[in-house]
Formats: sequence, structure tokens, C-alpha cells
Amino acid sequence: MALKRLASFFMTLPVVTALALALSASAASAKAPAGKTLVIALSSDSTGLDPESVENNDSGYVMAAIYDGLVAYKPGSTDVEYTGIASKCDISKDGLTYTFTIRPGIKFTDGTPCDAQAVVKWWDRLLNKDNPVYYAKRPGIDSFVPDTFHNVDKWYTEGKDKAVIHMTKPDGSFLNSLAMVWMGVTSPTAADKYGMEFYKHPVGTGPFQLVEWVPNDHVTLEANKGYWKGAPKLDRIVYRVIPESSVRALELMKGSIDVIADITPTDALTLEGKPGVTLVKQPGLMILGVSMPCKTKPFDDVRVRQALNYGVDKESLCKYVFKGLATPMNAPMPPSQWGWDKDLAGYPYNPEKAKKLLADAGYPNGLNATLYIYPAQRSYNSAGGPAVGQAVQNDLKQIGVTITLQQLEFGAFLAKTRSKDFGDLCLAGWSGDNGDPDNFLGALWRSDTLINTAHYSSMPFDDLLMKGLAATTHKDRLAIYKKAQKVLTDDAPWIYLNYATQMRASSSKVHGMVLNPTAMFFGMDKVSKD
Amino acid sequence: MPQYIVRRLFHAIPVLIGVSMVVFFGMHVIPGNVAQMIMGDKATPEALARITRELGLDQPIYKQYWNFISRAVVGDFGVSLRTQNPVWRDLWLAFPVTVQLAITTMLTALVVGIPIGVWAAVKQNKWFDNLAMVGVLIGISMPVFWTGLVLMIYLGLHLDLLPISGLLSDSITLHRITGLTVVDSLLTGNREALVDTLRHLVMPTITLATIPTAIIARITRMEMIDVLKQDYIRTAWAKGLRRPYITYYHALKNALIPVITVTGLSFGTTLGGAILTETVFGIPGMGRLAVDSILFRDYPEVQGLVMVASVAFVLVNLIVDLLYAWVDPRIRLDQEVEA
Repeated sequence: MALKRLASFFMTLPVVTALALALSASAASAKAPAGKTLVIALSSDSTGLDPESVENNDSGYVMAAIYDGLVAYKPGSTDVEYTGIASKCDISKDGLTYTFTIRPGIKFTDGTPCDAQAVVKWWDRLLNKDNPVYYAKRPGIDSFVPDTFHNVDKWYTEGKDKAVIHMTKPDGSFLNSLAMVWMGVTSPTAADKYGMEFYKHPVGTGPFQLVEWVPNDHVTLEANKGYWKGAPKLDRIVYRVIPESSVRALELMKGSIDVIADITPTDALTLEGKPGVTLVKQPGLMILGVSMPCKTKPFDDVRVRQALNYGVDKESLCKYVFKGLATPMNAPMPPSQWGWDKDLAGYPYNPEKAKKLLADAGYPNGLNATLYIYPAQRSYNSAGGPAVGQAVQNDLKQIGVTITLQQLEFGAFLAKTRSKDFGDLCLAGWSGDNGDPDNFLGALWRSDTLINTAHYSSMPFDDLLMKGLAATTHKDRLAIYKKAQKVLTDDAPWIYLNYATQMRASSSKVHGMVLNPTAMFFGMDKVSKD
Repeated sequence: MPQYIVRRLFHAIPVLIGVSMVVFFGMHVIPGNVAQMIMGDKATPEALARITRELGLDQPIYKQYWNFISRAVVGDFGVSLRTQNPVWRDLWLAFPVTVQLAITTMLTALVVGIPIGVWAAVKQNKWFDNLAMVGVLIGISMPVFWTGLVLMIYLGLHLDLLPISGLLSDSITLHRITGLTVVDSLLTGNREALVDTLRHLVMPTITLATIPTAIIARITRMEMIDVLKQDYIRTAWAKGLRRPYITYYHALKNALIPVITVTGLSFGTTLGGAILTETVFGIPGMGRLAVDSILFRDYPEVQGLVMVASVAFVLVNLIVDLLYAWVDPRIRLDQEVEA
């Protein structure tokens, strides 16, 4: 009897199901919410919304609309201006004391005044390990706080409207660091209230505030109508998690979303020219290259390193492998980085010169080397490790250099290539964090940095980096970094490949969005939607 | 029967322990570490060492395993290294989503697969049978990923009939009670959300149901052909009974036992996480959580996922065995088999 009932059930259900599906499918298909809600597609979920204790980009995209910094980047630039919480900053002549004048009348979205005292309390949360709500009490977090404040020894208020910070050594990159989304000013009241759970309850002074965060699905922000720069033009922003890149492109074409935060080159080329879609492209704050071990034969000879640079056809690499979405490197910093030296010639493709250099170095018959690659794409390498590795391998074969490719999963790749005794070639790349030249030149090639996979060590270069950080005027720093780029280009610790093109796709109904080189969604108060 | 259930659950314990050990030690064999994943390109040796120490990853591996298993037995899987949430909370959010998808998938597979199998058997070697078997072959062969994208492009984009991804439109607010959006819509009387979530489920369900539908159709056909040749069926014909009665009353009910087995196995597998489907359609279920956790080396999360999936699989198979006894009175689960 039970089986009879079961059998009957399965024979009648198809009719009922088909009818239900037909009825439901006839309803109007979902579009992005009407009116003033902007839907932004992310590739993965935020891991937290406490700016000082998270570092992944998807979290940053959300936080850029919730927080303001003391200073801000000029729209679309890595230059810093005083359009943040501080109306100005006086830097002492020795470069050790920064006095920020805090604008009056700014409030956090929980009503706490954002004055000099609040800013100093914010610093205390970041710098005082005895603070009960010290930001790093959660285990396993990583942060830009140590790098930004590594020389700071004192922080205090001066009068009602000045917040002062003092450091033991000058750091010319300090203001650029403070402009990062990772240096958003957080409400001390909320930090006290939520403690270690603050990363789920963000409170800033920004144009939007958190309404809802459904893990792995979406984050919803609503407008902060009392925003000190004026009420935002949008009512809401929804950040939707859509892991698959091609699905994000389909959703944009359909009109269900308004902006794609991270777009792959393949999807960008698909979307380019599509009606109703705007694709913004500009040189990104990123570089890609092949690191060469400067202390290991034969790469300890600069002629060999220069030969390999001349031996790779970067123009073709950018045109065919990167589908035109990268530009050949001429200098160790990208064009979007202030201080980039556009006059450096770099290493244009010249296989004959490459062979001659190899012969001069004692390798007339070429040489063998191993190149470590990773399997997937990176933000600075949209073509992926294997494609770039094979292209470099093919080019170098023409000048007698036989490359063996070794592919490792990314975690294993980092562990291998960052070890002190690593002595092979490896793919290397970097996305700038704070828009300061030292974030490229120092982070990648200073003698003592772990990320210096080339183990490049040059006293003159290190000396220039030190001077660059100690200089207190923009003009002085420009001159120093121009010299540093020349030294680094001539010494060629990397095969300098290209600068990735930064892209963002949006609906044509979206206006006022300016793509910042750090990729963050700054200036959302000015964004509107038809 | 109760003794049988208790015995089966008791036998599951060593299975779960074994599974947890295999996954735990397997995860630690994979190169790369979570500290590196947290820091990415920006890693420094000091920060790597600090994070490794803070997360307890510098302890001997057997100690890490003991810390995990001793808490897991009381339902504490620790804290996710990636989300910083208690693992049980991440699982509590993801598991109902996958359960919902698994239910709609298996229902679809059954309501489509069984009738196709029955009719193919009745019309054996005729055009419908041949067409059905070609369809089965295509269904089994098509990669889930490809099926999903094709459906999205045609049904979602070109014909604009259905939403492309997710479980609910951004304009819909639904109060979470169970985590199953269909059930929550019904419980809260939110008709708009009900229709919206059903529409979102159509394409992922079709995508995920393709393979089990094909398998169920094939097995049903095979069993029906076998049953239709039995003497009692010939007797039924001789008695002058009508074809539908013979097919659905006498034949089908005896052909369903293997179908129940396959359904149970497929359901249990789907509960473990429909990884590709959830990733393609942006559904925040166990499959997506598994992918993100494995790539991040989020050991506690992966362990928790595997334990939950294993328990689900054990329970589903137990239910399948109990269903055998319910549908076929000849089966006695609590009786010993005599040599």
C-alpha cells in the first residue's frame, strides 16, 4: 500500500511541478532594485569591517563607503589632499611631528563627535597594547597598522581641535598610508561597546552605514543622511557576493547589478561595447615581473639579468597574452604612482643585444634556469601564471636560455619563493597599498624585506630609500625616487614585464564613480544612478 | 526497530572518527599554510610567526587534532580562521541552504526520472526508449558547470525569464527562521519572497538534478524491464488487467527499491555540498563554504564541514534503510540473516 502511494505521488507530481514552474517563470524577472539603490558585485565575502584588522579587497570595497580617513586621495590619484577628517596637517621641519587640525561638526553614525579626542582615542586603540579594546586582540589578523605607525611613540591632543602624533624617525609615506581605506577612523564608542566583535559592527563617519550583513551573500549599507560632506545621492548600496566572474558579467548585462568590483580581462573584453555597459580602464597600481636571484650564479652578473630583460618581448606579451590589458614596464613603478619616471627607457625587446650580453658574461651558448609559477590569476597578473610563464619561456628560448617551469599552488609558491635560500627565477608582482613610492621600491627591493625574492641588495639604493622617507617635501622626494628608479632599472633584479590595466565595469545608469588606483570605492557620496 | 537504529548510529562513530582523521591530516599535508593565506603577498616572517602562534598552528599536529576532536564531540568545532566566526555558526547558515537545494534537486530528479524510466521500459526498444536513453547519456555526460552557464545565458539573459544567481532578489527582505528560504517565506507569509526564491531555485535545481535524473531514469528502466518479465506480471495480463494498473500498481512498486538506494546516495552526496552549482549560481551553501575554506586552509571550518556532511550522509543512509522496511514488508531489518 505504501509503495502504491509512493508510486502514485511520483507520477502526478510532474504535472503539478510543471504548472508551478510555468506560473512562477511568467513573473517579471528580477532587476536591480529600482530608485536609488546601487548593487555592486563582489567576488568573495568580506572577512570583517574593522579597517585596521582586515586586509582583503572585498572588505575594503565595503569599508570605503563606511569610513573616512584623516586625509584622502585626490579623486583618481595616489596624491593626497586634505579632504578627509583633517582640514590640514602641519609637519615639523624634522619630519617627526604631525599636527592634524580636525574639522568641527563631524559625527560618527552612532552620534559620537569625531573631534581631536576621538582621533587620539582611535590611535590609542591601534597603538596601545594595554588598551582593553586594542585592535589586534583577535588572533590571526593582519594589518597595515605596524607598517603605518612603526615609528610612532606619542599621540595626544593639543587644544580642542588638534590631534598630534610624534615619531622617532621620519616617514615620508605616512600621509599616503593614512589615506588608505585600511586607516579609516573608527568610533571609539563603538569600539568600547563591541570590543573584539567590532569587525561585525562597523561605525565610521562615512557616507553610508551598515544595515545588514548576510555572510557569503550580501552586505547592505544605507545612506548616512547627516554626512558632513552632504547627504549621498544614493539611498542604499548592496554588495552582492557572486564568486564566478562570468556570472557577474551576465548579471551586469541583464541589469541585475550595477557595478562589478573585480572584472577579469576575458569578461572585460566581452562587456566592452555592450549597450548599457560602461567599462573604465586605466593603468593600475600594479607591476608584474620575473624575479631573478641576484646572489646566485649566473644571475649575480648584472649583464645576465639585463640580457633576460632584453630577451622578453613585452609588447607582444601585453598584446597577445594580456589581450591589450597591460602596458610594458619602463620603470619599477607604475604610471599611476606619483613619482613614476616616464623618461626611463626600460628594456625594449632586443634579442641580439641580449645574446651579446650573455656572451660578454661568459654564456655564449645560453644557460638553463627554473622559473616558479603559480596556477591562477592575480590582481597584477590577469593572464595567470602558466600563460606568462610559457610566454617568457618561449621568448628566452630564442636567446639560448632554457627555462623549466615549476608550478606550485599559491600558498606553496609563496612559502617556496620567500625562503631565504631560494635561488631560482619566480613570477613576482605587486599591488600598491598606499600610493607611496616606498611601497613599491622599498617593499620589493629594500635589502632586508622578505618580499625581496630576488635577494637584491644595494647600499646606494637602500641609502636613497632612506633619504626618500626622511625627506619632508614632495619635491625632494620626487628627485630622490627618480634616482632610485634609475638605479633599480639599471641593476635589473627583475625581468620587468608590465603594468596591469585596472578596470571597472558598470551600468551606464551609474554616474559620478571615479576609479581610484587603489581600486577602493572612495567618493560614494557623489555617485548617483538614473 | 529502535535497537536497529541505535546499533546503526553506534556503528557510525568509528566512521566519523576515521573521516575526521583523514581530513585533518590530509589538510595539513597540503602545502602552504593559513598564515600565508591571511597575509598573501604582504607576508613578513615576523607576522607569519605571530599568526601561526596565535592560531595554535605551531603546536604538534597530534595535539592540534586532540584539541579539535575533544571539542568536536560536544559540538564545538572551534573558530573559523577565515571568518573569525564560530564554525558552528557558519555551518548553521550554510547547511539549510544546501538542504533546500538538495531537496528540490532530488524531488525534481524523482518526478522527472521515474516517469521517464517507466515509460522507456514499457516502450522498450521503441523510439521513446531510444530517445530517453540518449537523453540519459547526455544528462550524465554534461558537466554541471557548463549546464549552469548555458541555462543562465539563455533563460536568464537572452530570454530574461529567470534570475541568474543568488537565492533572493536584492529588493526582497526575508526574515530568517530556518535558513530555508522557501520555508521561511511560507512561515512568514511572504508571498513575494516565496515566488522570488522559487524562481531563483529553478536553474540551480535543473543544473544539479541533471545527473541524478539520468541515473534514476536509467535504473528505473532497468528494474522495470526486469519486473515486467516476471511470472506474476504475465498472470496479471492473463487475468485481463489493464496496462496502467499492471505498470504502476504491480510493476513499479517492486522496481523502486534500487531507486530509493540511488536517491539516498545522491541526496547524501548533495548534502555534502553541491560545490560547482553553488559556486556558479552564487548560492551560500556548504559547497561554497567548503571551497573557500579549503583554499584558505581554514582547518577548523573544513573539519566542521566534513563532520556535518558525514553525519548527514550516515543519517540519510539510515533513513534509506528504514524506508526499505516500510515499503517492502518482506524486509526485516532487525532480523539476523541465517546461514
